[in-house]
Amino acid sequence: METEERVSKGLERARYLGRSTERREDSRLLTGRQRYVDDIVVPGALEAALVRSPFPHARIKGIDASEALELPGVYLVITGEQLARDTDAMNQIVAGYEQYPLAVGRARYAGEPVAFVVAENRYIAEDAADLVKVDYEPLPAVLDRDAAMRGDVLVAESDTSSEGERFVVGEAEDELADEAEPNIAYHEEFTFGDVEGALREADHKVERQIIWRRSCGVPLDTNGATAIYEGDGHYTIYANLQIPRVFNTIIAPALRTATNKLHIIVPPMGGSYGTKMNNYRWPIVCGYASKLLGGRPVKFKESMVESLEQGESHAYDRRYTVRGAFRSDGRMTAYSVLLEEDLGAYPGMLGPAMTLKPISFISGPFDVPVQSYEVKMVLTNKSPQTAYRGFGSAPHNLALAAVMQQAAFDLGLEPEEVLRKNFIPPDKFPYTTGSGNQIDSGNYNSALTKTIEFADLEALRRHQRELREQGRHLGIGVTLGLEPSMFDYAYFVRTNDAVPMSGAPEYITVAMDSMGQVTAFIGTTESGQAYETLTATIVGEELGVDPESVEVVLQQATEADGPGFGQGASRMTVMLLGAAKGACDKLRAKMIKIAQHALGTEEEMVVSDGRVYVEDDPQRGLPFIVVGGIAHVDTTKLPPGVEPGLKATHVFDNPSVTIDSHKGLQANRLPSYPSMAYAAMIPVVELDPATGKVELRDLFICYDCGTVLNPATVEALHHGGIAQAIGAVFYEEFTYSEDGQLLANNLWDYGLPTSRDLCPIHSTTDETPSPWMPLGAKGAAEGGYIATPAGLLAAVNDALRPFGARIDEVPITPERVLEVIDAANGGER
Amino acid sequence: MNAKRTNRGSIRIVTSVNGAALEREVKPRLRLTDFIRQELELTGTNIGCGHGVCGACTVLFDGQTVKSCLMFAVQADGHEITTIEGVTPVDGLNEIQRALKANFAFQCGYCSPGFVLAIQQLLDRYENPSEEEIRFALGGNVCRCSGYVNIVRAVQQLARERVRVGA
Repeated sequence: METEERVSKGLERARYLGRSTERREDSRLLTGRQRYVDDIVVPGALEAALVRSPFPHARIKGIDASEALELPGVYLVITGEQLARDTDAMNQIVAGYEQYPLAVGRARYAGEPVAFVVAENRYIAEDAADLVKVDYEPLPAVLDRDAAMRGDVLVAESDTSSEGERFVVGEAEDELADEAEPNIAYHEEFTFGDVEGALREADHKVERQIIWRRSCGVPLDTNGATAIYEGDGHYTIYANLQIPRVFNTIIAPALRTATNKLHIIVPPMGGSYGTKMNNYRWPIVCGYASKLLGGRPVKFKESMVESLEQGESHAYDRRYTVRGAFRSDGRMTAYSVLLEEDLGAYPGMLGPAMTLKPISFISGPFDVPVQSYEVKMVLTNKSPQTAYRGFGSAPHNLALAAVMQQAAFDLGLEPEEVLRKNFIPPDKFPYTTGSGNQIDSGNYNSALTKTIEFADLEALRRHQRELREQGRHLGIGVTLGLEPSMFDYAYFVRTNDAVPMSGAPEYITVAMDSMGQVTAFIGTTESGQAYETLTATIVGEELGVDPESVEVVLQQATEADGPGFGQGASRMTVMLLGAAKGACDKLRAKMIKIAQHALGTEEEMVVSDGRVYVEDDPQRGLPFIVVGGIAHVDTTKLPPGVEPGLKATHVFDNPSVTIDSHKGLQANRLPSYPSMAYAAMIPVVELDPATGKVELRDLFICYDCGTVLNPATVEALHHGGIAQAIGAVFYEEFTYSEDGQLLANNLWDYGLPTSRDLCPIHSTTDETPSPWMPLGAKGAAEGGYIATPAGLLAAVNDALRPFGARIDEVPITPERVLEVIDAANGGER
Repeated sequence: MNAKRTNRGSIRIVTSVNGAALEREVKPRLRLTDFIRQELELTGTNIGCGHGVCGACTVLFDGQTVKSCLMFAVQADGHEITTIEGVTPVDGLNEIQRALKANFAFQCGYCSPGFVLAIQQLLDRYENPSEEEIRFALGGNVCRCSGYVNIVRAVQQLARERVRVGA
């Protein structure tokens, strides 16, 4: 398929938006001109390496760095004990836990950094790291969530355990048992309606246990930082930290300085997918080291092995127990989720919130108001977690889809019949979910039907039957999954009363200089989403200037013009649209005022095509260069009382704050995701029962993310998400040995899909605009990853059906496929 | 081989990088990637895994793609190295880069210099590669953003274009 001119339905009358504008970023990327964090050269910078614990759990009885320090070129060895004395602990999103960038007293997972060695260069730093002698007393480790919950070994420093909390809507519930729950950082149950009653009365019940094993984004550009202590509490820090405007609130207190004394610079990142949200440890340690060295710059860039082991590059290690109540016609009457998440050794800042996000769409696209969601956040001696694309949504969609497919199989229905019977109908939007989240819009059946026609499901099934007669096993999945976007802070901090947060606004500044040139300033980092192209297009559309002439500046922490979170939760497109409209309105108003005064008229004027002119007499007007000139350098021509300059900032409040029905969610600290994109898909796989190998043959997808601002960019984001989903479902796993060693600590053993592992992806789109969001746009960057695993698992289980077998865990490896086939045959193959 | 051990534990090498002859003293353990990035300050070559899987550090070694993280700088003695900077026009893009841009092939771009060089070699070898040949030839380069869909499209489009104009 060629990249044909595809114009978004809602934007046919727009001049620039809705077209596949080429990405301006590409001219830097493709030529190697892009400067990533590792490419930033700070004169005199020293380089660091880590000493990491070889044990999953061990007391650190002493660290002897004397030999390392004798090596020529070695400047400093920092230990956790020093950090505990001279810095403050990093915030944890669950109250009652403490973590420093280096292990203090005990190492709690294999690979946990215990010392930080600074030397003339990385080569010497690695030599020196080998010379650091750590006296470990190995302790029993717990790697399994059940053993952890039995309390065989306590992972956290003190026997901190959850008191248990229950959140109930409607009838009163008895209190959760208050006995101590060892190694459970947080435990809460959310019940919306009489789930148990519905399950008791159901015609048919489905119960499944689904395992999602650890994997993550694994960007090729690992975390890194270079810090320079500038004296008097000031630091300049270069880091590939995805959300510096949020986590400067961790770095500054840890360094015992103020947030406005941190100058954080984030160059474009070589991929993040959420994972670089928590790169705050290296800014802290590098900053501390630079201070100890009197301001000598200190750089640390993880090697890939350090990255995979260091403790914040894994995500989702989940066990679901899911139950669905069904009528015999396939209608679901209740859905219940128990999620036991293995968070690893520290709760951190992101893992806990990722387990809570799915409360915003417990029953996904299905109209099932009776539902419950119980979450146990378990600590083990494994690596802690970071964020990953979708923030916990992909496994949730997978578990739900597995229940729907099982119900279809059990009741003798086709999967699409069960989906259709349960979809929230188009006339029920905005739709209120069990938890009170309101979903803006959707036409799920339309996307599903489009996919079925596009894939020619009937022909595929015919082909499947034919092949079965030849002893070949095709599997076809039919699913639809939601992609929540536009998060609100409130639920993030549900687990810690001490941190009041809600909303999540975002700003943009639009400025015109003395030559009439337009520059936009936005508050986000960049890791592949092409925010410069997007922002230039939006601002160009608003001001009627060629987007190619609009420059875009990404502001980071201290210099940001307004409040905001930056990239995450598929939010920037919508937030920038909202903010740009306001800022351009303000800028236009001032330009018109200047032009009216200069031309001595009070007639209505418009701003377009590089001019400000009289609406009814377009000949009379001023070019931008004159208006910009008056504003900056010819200021005696300004109207009385008008300040020189042309610059306007507008803050767009999170839609969840402005939509009345979402206010209760914030008050109760429940997840508010007012906008839901979605994707229907039909993956086709072939299973070889002799080897257990599953081969992906085709994947058909129809996604709907409302009005699309740049169709080719959105399509590409879906391709990437789908590829990561294929990785998570078939290839990627952070495997641990029984004695707690991370086996997949390199890219030979952690299998990132290559071009040879992927199948053709056939995509089409639907456009159901959001009634609440500017231009009807929705989030789009996470959908491919969020929706696809469910489809892939469904396809494999469809292929396994003739064997009377099914698989309930991902990644689906040949070994696991053979295991379930063997088990179904009573151990015989 | 012109390599000579000097008296400071370094080795003198004579090499050519992007067409320019160079003579340098390097430590025997200096990785070729670090030589290119740190000594020559050509930062278009990126470091991904550092152990030969991802291909972000791909350069041309006497015209053949190699993963520069698996080589030492001393191995460049007497050989020609071409990096992304060496195939990029002073201003603008070469035809491979243009095809990739027109097809929205990359997102974060970290892997893209390696891909540009791998594609150059692929198109030198195959006049009109099939999808399978493209996917096989690019199997040594990992892209985490794109799912390879648009990269493959761009290569197909460019190959067709070359055949059409009889290049």
